[in-house]
Amino acid sequence: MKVTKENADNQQVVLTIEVPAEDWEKAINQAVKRIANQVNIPGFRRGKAPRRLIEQHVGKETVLDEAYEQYGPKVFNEALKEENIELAVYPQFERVTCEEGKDLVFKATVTPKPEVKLGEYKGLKIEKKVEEVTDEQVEKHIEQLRDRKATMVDAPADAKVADKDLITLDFKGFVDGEAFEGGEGKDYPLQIGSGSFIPGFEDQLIGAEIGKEVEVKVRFPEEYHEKKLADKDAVFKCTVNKIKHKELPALDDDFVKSVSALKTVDELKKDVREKMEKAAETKATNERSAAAIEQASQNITVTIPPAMVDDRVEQMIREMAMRLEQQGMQFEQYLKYSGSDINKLREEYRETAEKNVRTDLMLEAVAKAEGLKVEAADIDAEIAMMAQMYGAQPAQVKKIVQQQGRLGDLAVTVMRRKTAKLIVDSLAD
Amino acid sequence: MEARDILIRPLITETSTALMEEGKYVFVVDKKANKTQIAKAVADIFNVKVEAVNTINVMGKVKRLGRNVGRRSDYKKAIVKLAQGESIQFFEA
Repeated sequence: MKVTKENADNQQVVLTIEVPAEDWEKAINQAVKRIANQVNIPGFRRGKAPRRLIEQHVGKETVLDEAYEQYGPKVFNEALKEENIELAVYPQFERVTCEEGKDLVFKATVTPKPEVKLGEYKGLKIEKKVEEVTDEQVEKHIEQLRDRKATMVDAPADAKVADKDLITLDFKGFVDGEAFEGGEGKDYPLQIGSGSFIPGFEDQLIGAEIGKEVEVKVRFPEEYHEKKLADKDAVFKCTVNKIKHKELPALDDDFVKSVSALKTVDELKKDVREKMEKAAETKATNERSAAAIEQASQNITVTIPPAMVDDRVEQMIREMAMRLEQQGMQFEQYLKYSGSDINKLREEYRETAEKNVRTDLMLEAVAKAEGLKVEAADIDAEIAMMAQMYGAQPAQVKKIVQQQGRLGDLAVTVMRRKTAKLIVDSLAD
Repeated sequence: MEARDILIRPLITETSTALMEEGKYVFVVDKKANKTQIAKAVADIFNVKVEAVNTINVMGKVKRLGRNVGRRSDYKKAIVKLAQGESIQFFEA
């Protein structure tokens, strides 16, 4: 095997790998054997047909492809070891000569991991900013609690519709003086202020009285899902049948007892405040840690190869597509709805991707500099955590992870976390 | 009988491929052809020296599909042994 190294643009390296004809011939023979086991040739048992017939049957090209696909990566990995290159992204391959009886020559455009020069990462000075919890925030939270416990009370017959009321109404819509399909409803429940009807509709109902017809004039929005109605003026004749007011429970000790194990309003207030302060504290700690990592990544000196960022962007898009699929949505559909396209999305992700790549490089470099290692115990701890999350046995989880061949990824994750912890723990107070 | 009418097709199977090592080539031949005719036909077409010819009449198997009974056609198989050192390129290619 002969490897020629050539520097290319964008921090990429082109490796030209040459394999002598004899080795290549061996690889072809192996490929023939593998194929022989898969094809049926009349007159022969599987795997027993001679090479000549197999080549005739599946075509010489297929044989060579198979040989290259199996043998190429093997040679490539050897070449990497020889040249001492660590891959940052999956390389691009190009076959130069791939023929029987000749040397196998192929080119690989690889992006080696860039050299990282660490800056300051230990004992960084980052302020912790804990947000003050105001009385208003506490009030608001209690208000929400009350809202959750609110009851709907029938309003008297002479009541008028007000904001936040739950009403039932009959309505019939007309566009250009004509009733249209789907524009009619009887005893339809509507929460005023919920925004479930066309914008403007609900506002115009405010002040309406029970049993009296009201005309509501609205214009369908331009992007209304029914094409025929989009961007058209419509008149709805509405009659309110019933009004229900929302009634909040009084803020007293009884209410406190119904929502918590506490006894008095003051206790509740104190409790809410404490919880909020705790949340603010946690948030501040998290933010500080994030800032520390960010700072440390900013402090490194590295030229990130564009290919690495591109790769990360693609990965992010794939992850997003997968998430969408889990929610039962096609990626293309999502793009259409959000009025975006894949190139725009790539642009949007670029910055985050670059930041992530930078952070990862930094963490890797720090781990190396500090001689951090992932111990078996670390992995077990991580697995135990995962098991708890999924409500399964750790042994089971480990088996699954192993089966999926993701133990390596897991180790990387653990390593990153460990390194991040080191940076955060070393923060100057 | 014309030489090209006698030899119908080469018979290439695992067994026949193994026989090639011994310089024996297997053909499907016309039912009515005899050993001398076959020897001559092979010698003429492939320009080789034939040492011996063995023939077998192969009876077609009775095959049924549901209640339909069918029969595969019979054929005559000829194993032609060439003189030492001779070979037929047609089989090799």
